[in-house]
Amino acid sequence: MIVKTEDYTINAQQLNHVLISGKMRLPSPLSYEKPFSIIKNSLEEASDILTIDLKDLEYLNSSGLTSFARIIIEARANNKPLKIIINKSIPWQAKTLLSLNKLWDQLSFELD
Amino acid sequence: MKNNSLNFQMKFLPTDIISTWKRASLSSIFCSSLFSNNQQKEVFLSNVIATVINECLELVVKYGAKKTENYTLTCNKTNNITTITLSFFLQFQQISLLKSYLKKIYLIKKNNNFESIIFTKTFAELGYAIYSFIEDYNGSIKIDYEKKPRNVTTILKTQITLNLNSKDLKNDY
Repeated sequence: MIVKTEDYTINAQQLNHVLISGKMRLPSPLSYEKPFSIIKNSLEEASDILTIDLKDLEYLNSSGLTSFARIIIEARANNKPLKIIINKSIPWQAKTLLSLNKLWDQLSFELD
Repeated sequence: MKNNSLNFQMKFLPTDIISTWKRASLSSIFCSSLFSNNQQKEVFLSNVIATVINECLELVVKYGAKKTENYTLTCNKTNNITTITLSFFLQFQQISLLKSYLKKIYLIKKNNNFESIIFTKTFAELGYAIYSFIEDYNGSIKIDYEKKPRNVTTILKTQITLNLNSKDLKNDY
């Protein structure tokens, strides 16, 4: 499945892989439920580690970070392993996303 | 403009940002680029400030009262200290909630209870940003309002002051 708007793209056409790119600045955690349902579906269907590639995600506001953190908690609850690819040249990604390992120590990261 | 000191103020109507939400993004990128010019940690500082300004603009668009009044965003930088001041209108009830939420986040930081931020109801979207600001960037936040309220629905001119020390902005990854 793929969602493409003027601002962002979420592409989950490949099994065990979700690519999020662009800028996401939706107004509330609730408004992220629909676009992030793609990630949740991919998580349910994953046959191996689900990789979430964020290296082309330029901006994610705090509502998005909160919603993303909730997905990690859901993965943890269902013991579904996750790997997050982050872009070390986008400072907020490395600084803020790496702190998500406080939610789950088995969360793995790849710095691109 | 001196290399070690810079000040600017942006006045805006929150309704403008509501009608063209992207302006918040463009404004924050512009302000941060201007602000971080000539800095050694230019890209990193610019990114942090753009993120902070984005969150500030989103906050006032969502919660601000008197949306036809001018709001202001002021940035001052002297040596290593960057101060971002947001001046806008809020109901007293919202101010109280925001202040108590801030206290809660400082407590969460102290007790290392990060997960509880993710599921708060009021200001849920802000929790992560505030936590990250004080934990990852060692920033400080202060909320002031201009006078005593008559009741919880009284609308007060409110000032949020954020301080960052560029010495604490480390690329430690």
